Amino acid sequence: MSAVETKIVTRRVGVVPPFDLEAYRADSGCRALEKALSMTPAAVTEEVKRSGLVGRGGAGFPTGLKWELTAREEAESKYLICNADEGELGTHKDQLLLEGDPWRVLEGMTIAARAVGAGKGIIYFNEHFRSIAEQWEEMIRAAEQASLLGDDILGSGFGFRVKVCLGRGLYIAGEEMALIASIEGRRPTSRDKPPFPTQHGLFGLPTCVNNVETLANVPDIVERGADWFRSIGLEDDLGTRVITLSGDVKEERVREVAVGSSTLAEAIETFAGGTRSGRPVKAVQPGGGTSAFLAADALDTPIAQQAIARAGSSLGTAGIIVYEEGHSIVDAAVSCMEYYGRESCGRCAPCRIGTVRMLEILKQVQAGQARPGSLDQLRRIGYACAVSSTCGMGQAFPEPVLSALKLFPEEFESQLVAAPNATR
Amino acid sequence: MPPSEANWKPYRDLLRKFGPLEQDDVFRVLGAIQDAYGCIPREILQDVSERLHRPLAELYGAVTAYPGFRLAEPEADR
Amino acid sequence: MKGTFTLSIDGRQVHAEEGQTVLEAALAAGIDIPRLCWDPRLTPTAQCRLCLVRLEGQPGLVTSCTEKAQPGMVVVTEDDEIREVRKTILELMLSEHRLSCQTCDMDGECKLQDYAYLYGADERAFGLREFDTDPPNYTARDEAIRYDSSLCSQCERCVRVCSEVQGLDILTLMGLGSAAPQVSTAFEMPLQETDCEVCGNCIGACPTGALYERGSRGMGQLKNLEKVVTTCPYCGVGCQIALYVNRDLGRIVRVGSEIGLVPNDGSLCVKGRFGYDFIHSEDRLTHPLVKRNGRFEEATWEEALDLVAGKLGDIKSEHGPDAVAGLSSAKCTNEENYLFQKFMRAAVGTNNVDHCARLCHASTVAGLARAFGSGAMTNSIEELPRADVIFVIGSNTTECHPVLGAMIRRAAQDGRAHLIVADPRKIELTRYAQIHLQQASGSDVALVNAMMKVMLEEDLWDHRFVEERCENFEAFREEVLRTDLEEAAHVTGVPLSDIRRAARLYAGAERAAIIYSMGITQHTTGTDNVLTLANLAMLTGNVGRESTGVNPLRGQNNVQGACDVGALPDVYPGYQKVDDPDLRRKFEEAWGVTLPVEPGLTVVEMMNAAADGDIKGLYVMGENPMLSDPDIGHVKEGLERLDFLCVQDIFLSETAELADVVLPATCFAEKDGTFTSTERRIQRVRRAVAPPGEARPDWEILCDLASRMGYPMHYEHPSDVMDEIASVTPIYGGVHYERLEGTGLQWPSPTADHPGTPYLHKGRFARGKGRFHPVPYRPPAEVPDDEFPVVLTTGRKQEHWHTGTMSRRSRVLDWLLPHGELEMSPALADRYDVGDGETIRVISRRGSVEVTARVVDKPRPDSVFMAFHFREAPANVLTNPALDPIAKIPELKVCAVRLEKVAGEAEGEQEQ
Repeated sequence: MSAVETKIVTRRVGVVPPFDLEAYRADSGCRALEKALSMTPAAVTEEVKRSGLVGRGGAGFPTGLKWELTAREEAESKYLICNADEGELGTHKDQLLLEGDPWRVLEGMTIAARAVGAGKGIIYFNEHFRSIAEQWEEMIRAAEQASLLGDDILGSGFGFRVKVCLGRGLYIAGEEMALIASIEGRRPTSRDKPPFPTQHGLFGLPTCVNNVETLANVPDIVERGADWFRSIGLEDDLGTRVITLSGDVKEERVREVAVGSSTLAEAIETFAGGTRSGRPVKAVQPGGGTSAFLAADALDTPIAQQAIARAGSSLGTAGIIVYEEGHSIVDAAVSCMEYYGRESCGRCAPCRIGTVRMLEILKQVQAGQARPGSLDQLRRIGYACAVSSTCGMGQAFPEPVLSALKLFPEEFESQLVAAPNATR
Repeated sequence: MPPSEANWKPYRDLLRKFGPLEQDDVFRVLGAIQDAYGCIPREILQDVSERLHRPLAELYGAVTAYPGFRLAEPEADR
Repeated sequence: MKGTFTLSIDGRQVHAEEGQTVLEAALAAGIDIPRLCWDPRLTPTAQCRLCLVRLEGQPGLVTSCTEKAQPGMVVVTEDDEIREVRKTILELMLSEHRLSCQTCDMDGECKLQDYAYLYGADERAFGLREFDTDPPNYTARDEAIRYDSSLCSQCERCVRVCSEVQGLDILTLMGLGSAAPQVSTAFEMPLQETDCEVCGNCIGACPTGALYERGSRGMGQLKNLEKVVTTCPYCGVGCQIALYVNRDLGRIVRVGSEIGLVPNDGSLCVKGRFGYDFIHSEDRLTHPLVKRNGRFEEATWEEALDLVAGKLGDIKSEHGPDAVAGLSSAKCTNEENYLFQKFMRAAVGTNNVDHCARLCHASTVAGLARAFGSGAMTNSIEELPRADVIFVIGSNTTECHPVLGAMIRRAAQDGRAHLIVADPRKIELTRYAQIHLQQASGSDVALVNAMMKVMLEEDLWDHRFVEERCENFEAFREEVLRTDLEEAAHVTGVPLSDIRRAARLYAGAERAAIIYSMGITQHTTGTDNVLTLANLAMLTGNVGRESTGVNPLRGQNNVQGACDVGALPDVYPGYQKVDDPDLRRKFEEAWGVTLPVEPGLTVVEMMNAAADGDIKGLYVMGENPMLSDPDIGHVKEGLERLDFLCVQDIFLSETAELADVVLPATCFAEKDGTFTSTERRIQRVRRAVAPPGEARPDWEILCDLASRMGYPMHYEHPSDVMDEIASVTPIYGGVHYERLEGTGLQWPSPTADHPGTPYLHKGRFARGKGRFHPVPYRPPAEVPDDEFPVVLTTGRKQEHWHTGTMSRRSRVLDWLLPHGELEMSPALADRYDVGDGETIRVISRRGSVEVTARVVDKPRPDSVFMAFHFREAPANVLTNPALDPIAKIPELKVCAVRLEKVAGEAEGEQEQ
């Protein structure tokens, strides 16, 4: 079977000119905002809650609940933060939305702000999105002129302003707590929760942090209703996911699919044209570079969180990284660790030191200089880091290495010094 | 232009663009300074610290945590 | 009250308080959980991850330092998995730690070492790394504090202590999070270029050997050092310090502090931590000295004591006992002060006994006794940061009482308390103040009367408290209403709008505390100033409750105690009047002698009487009037005219140089005893090292002298003396050594089962009703004129203390501040064409000194400031000995001077 697209959040991408308010309005843009402004904030939250939408940033927290928790707090002011610091390996979904249908994301932000009672908004871009961020600055000015942002949005009395932050080349700053610390001008480090940002977030104020894709879903849910949204995807995992196909594929692609509508293999074949060389797939990381490897026998797993989890990995950011036969899994693990091993925020000792040590050991393995005990060391460090780190990142960093060791132990063992065939 | 003789004009210009500084502008201002100077000059960081009533050490510690911020101007641009 | 509940930790039912973390509940129950980054004073950050525990019914592990304890929770603090994870974390930490336990001073108290041992962590598990030895960093040239990043565990306790306890935010981690970030200042500036106060609390917080005292390096590993907890000998805050003794060297090699002890909870200031060199100074007196033909010669104790007893006896029989006077010491213990006044009163037979409290808080004792019935700090240190408004007037708290100052700074920074600072200088606390009232020196009564007039006019006063608890309100009200607000604004130089704001802020507080010090007391209007503050507190009902009150901060470690035990000319121990016949009879019975009837002379009166020839013999124990008293020229004249001067001290002070006999005494580290801190807390002083040479504890010397003069005094131990004090001093009635372990006791504690008194005047003032006093404004005795146009005010610097005999012998303190300076505003410096660092001559009607100018926007433009610590630039050559009529305290805070620029070297060079 071949995979099919279900376009909701990517509906206008490549069709309607982006950063063009008139075109956006002409394509039914802003209707959800108008509707949301006519509803009570609680009713908007209830609608999103009922839709079953969960966060698309990787952790999968129910969006409506997060809004409710933020709305519940009493405070002089609150923040709505759009996390646009997309930095996960093999993931480009947010980028597509930010430049392909930016008004949709801004509309989602404004509706979210209205629902939680936030008067201040911040969108935090990955450093690589500098030119997009600049366009957003202009768009925000246009929105203010069109009364879509400002002290009295569309005459509703609701006020919301958005500021643009541009990241500075640090992947970890995309982690929720580190992101907040970053905007505050502190060292971008995570911390233990509670208190949650919804209670004690940016500058101590209640703060709702949502991912780009999550917010992009909001206008359609508000406009078309929760029941419509619930008709898409699986019963326990609703809506669509914007997947990124990369790695050893013919063509890197970003596509939107209904949750559970196709398998990993189908998506790779249909959207990316199969593997680069045509050789069979050896392994995939289905949820970005910090997700565990799945071997070829798991390729018929549907693209849905539960199914992927049962297979031994995580859907994360739905960045599907493909490794074809012949691709050394040791090299793959080293690549992941090279990317993430310099990205610890430094807060938790096991992650800060462990990722660096793991990368050192992996490189020794790769160079054929490691001793037999090294693999156990990798397992020990990885385990300690995963169980003892405070944030999702620290918990996930060792995943690729640990899963690779589990799935392809012989590839590592064959490169050890004392192994029989180490002298190749 | 070594950072110790910071030219204040680009900084003043960018401050004008910001208008009255708010606490949540701190990271944005740091970014704007980096973009304007190619680095974050010491005197200017001190000024940000005073304007926003933030400890200089805290801002310094933050700035050093990003690959995208520099404290001294890149060699090539001198 | 907080709710309590039980939870299960390792199978034990444990009680916890609401809000406690699992770690706190476990530690309280005696269950240890490993942790490196946790510090009970700081917000937990769970960085080391060692304190991970398992909660039953919950997947994964949680950090017990951040996890709140919940009723019924079931906690497992260790199992095989947790052990394994901890071991791995420790091995990872060791992999980036320079393994140098053999040469590390921290060996024995290093938490990393302890846990590595406990968990059997293999230090080579993840390989050994090379480290640069001594790479340059922000401490590279620091004489006090050193940081070695190769021993750092990145727990950030130093960074957080500097921010959360000290309120200075000098430190940060620097660099990429994953790249073993180091501790640094901003831009790696040397600490001296930052606002660092060199308190060294970063060292105290460090769990490894990464931060250390430079001077302690190589002086002994902690495992070999003996720790003696005692009371700091510097200011009156009464910090508990730990002296680390190297028994092989017979020396104190390091000073630390224990978290959890009141009042300082692990904090110290620069003097407490680094000011101990004087103990082992080469200059210590080691033998009695007798002056023969104008030169000191060593003598035996027999000779020296015979000579002193003989001379004092001769003067007594020839001129009467009142021709002898004695200066006791706020540096010495309660027991020694008690024995000193007993010696003067019972053995010599005179009430001529006083001490330097006269120069600092005589007006407090006089004023607060009249208003409230007790001349001491009304509330406790730990209560003050919890006030809603803190009104600091005439106290440079962060400089002179640094540990308390930091608490106030933190309270103000967090917005927990609103701060009003009234001070002629822009002292450091003004940075955190809502309102700074920069009043003219000596205009305090005008300022506070104006505030109270605003309160009366706007009905911001506590009618019920005044009605029920106070007396003489009408006379007071009439006087205050006579205040002309415009005139007050003019006299004080404070805008009326600020006076109004301050009045409203103070009066609007639920709990407002006044803190003051010598800026209030050292005036000819000192007693008036104190009475006015008492009026203010009573008017607003801010007495007799927690976190309120009138709180004088005592300058010397034991000035409170020296007063308490009667080293004053008009009272016996416990402020019992010598001219009360019943009380005199009580002491005659207790001491077995007839006692003199008339109150004796005060410090300045003694010096005048000596100059007039009325005092013939003077016995000085541990005081240095040649630097501390006003108008030193006059003091010298008096001392030189004496027939006999005996000085008992630890150094040959400026005063001792004039003596006929010098007796070598011991310092706080060489004897047992007690000090009473500014918050009336009686605390133990414990012997840590042997005295140098033949030096003897002051109390023993006093006993031998008394016995030689025909009044045998004999005690086995200072605790016997305290038992005697308790027997004759109602406020100390319950004080016995065994009750002083741990936190000490706050007087009054009249009986052995009385728990002590955190705050005074609860429900009832000590004198019954609080008494209002009408206090009209009077200007200082000396005001600027054409000839002497500038106001000189004097005080202290954080790095030094009193006459510098102790602090200036500290290597670190001397390095930080080697000489005296004259602070002047840029405006004034312009007028005299003086640059920063140039020499300037300061001239008053009494003398002149040359001193380095420090141009700083701190004093008012019409004023200059000088510290009095420096013998080469003694401020008290200039000061005015004019006295407060009631308390007899001299006006050290205000005199008129003239400035002259001294032709500099630069000019001379140009001429050549």
